[in-house]
Amino acid sequence: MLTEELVDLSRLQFAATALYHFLFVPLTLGLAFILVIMELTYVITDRPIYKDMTRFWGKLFGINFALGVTTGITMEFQFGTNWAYYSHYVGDIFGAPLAIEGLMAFFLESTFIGLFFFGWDRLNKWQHFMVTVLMAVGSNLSALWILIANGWMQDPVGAEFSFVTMRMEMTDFWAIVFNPTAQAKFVHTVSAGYVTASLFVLGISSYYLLKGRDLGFARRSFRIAAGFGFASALSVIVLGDESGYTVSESQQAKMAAIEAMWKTEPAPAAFTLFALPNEAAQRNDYELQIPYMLGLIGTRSVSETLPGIREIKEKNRARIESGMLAVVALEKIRKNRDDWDARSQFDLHKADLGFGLLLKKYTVDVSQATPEMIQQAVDSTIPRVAPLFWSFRLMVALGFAFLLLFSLALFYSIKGNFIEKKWLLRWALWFIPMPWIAAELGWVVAEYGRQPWTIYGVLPTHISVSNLTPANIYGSLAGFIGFYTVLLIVEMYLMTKYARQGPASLGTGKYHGEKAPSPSPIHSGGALPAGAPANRI
Amino acid sequence: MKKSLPDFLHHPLAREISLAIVIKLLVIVALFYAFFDGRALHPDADAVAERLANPHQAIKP
Repeated sequence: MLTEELVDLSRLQFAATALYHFLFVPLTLGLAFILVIMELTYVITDRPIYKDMTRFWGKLFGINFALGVTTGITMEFQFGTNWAYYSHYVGDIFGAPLAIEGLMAFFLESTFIGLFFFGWDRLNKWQHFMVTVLMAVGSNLSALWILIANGWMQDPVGAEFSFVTMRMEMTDFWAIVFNPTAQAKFVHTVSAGYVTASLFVLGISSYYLLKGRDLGFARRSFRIAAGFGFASALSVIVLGDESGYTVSESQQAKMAAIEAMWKTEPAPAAFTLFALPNEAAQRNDYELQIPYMLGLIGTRSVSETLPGIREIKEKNRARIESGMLAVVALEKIRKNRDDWDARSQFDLHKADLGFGLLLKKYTVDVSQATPEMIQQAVDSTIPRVAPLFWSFRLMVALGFAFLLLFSLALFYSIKGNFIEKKWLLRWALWFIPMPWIAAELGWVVAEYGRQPWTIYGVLPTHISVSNLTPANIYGSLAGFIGFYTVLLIVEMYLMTKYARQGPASLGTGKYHGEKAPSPSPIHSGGALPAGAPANRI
Repeated sequence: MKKSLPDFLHHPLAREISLAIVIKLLVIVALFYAFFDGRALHPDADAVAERLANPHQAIKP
């Protein structure tokens, strides 16, 4: 039997693999562009230290890529094994961007990553720089196509249901590609990756500065990370706001749950800074609000209202009742395609088919659904409020903390005295894990907030799942968590090992802890090649 | 023996990365094989219609 346990386990398995996968992704997205900046500086200035910086941070990039690659494959397999009905229902649309990602972006990324590592002695400076650029573009293009697929799950545009094939069929490829929800998610997500990588470089550079070693190398890395990180942190907030705006338009239930907005407030609605959402009583306890702010963010106006949970539920009740008629008509059409009454009835209500399917969780024959069943379906259209409310606020608070950190890092970089600001260096070092937490919380908001749908408003989660036994999922879930945890431990071990070694791990003989190849001067910022003028480093 | 390897595998780092990727793929395949072999569904339009009509159907052997 298809049980609630099976649905929850399948969701947990996908969530676990996705969250593990995304531990590797943001660093790849951001570090690639930091490598581009470092290598461009090397190509322009011809100073070897920038080449060393590109190679060292590139080594950490390589460790992350080598361990992270293949962790995404399990999710693609799961579409077939755990979500077979989902795959049939929307595979025509969902499969296209995934295939393009594999064929175009991932191959581009992987090929140029190979050339990046093994091409230093085979390519000239400009050729190698172009390889690094294409590697960065490839990794970000991968993210683009994945997020186009994910954006379509949140806001299914450019597609239509066919009762003949019993699946969604693409009607407008470009509408899917330029789906505003997908585009906003893409830029917000890659910006979050840039913040992650910037803080990674900033934090490790701070470690060297606190230890008083490899100062020239760390100083330059710190400055680049501070500048790139400041721009990225600013972008992630602005683009996150844009992403929130698209949510308020296309996923009103998610927005209302994020904001714990139980009823429609007069425009412009206040933003709830703090509250204890009380789901049973449908109200917030200990509420602290900022007037007008949510209305301005969510509608970009002072006169438009944002619907609250109660109003959304009433709208959804009407859609569920309309969807019941669509489901009944569809079942008649499947028995007799020439039943024209059923076909016209279906055409009238097919926009609400997904809402009618929500009732299948409670009854086989939706035409016989009781008011209690309809009420259960109505209630299920709103995701649980408290997890979304808190995940969102923690993510946003971290986003502003990153902006503050990078603002200070950039300010003191321009002033030239950041090495003396030990508190700033310690803050940067201890803050290294935070962008990962923020990114994972962002995914919790996006995907938990999509419930009870796999395709928003089109396909309920409980219908998408394959008929497996819970034992299948328990076993494989344990296997994946164990396997991914091993990968994570190896990643952290290697990252820590090479970060501690620092640029000395390149074996150039110029850095902290290395034996100099000759009595040539060992500078704190990297040694000079014999005879080189000091200002070339 | 080494001469028979492709060029890129002569580099130790390339060998390590290739080996890591192969091991990871094998583990993933083994996990899927162990828990999902014989459970694959190939839904067609009728199967999906049946599924929508009755999502609580028993698992077919």
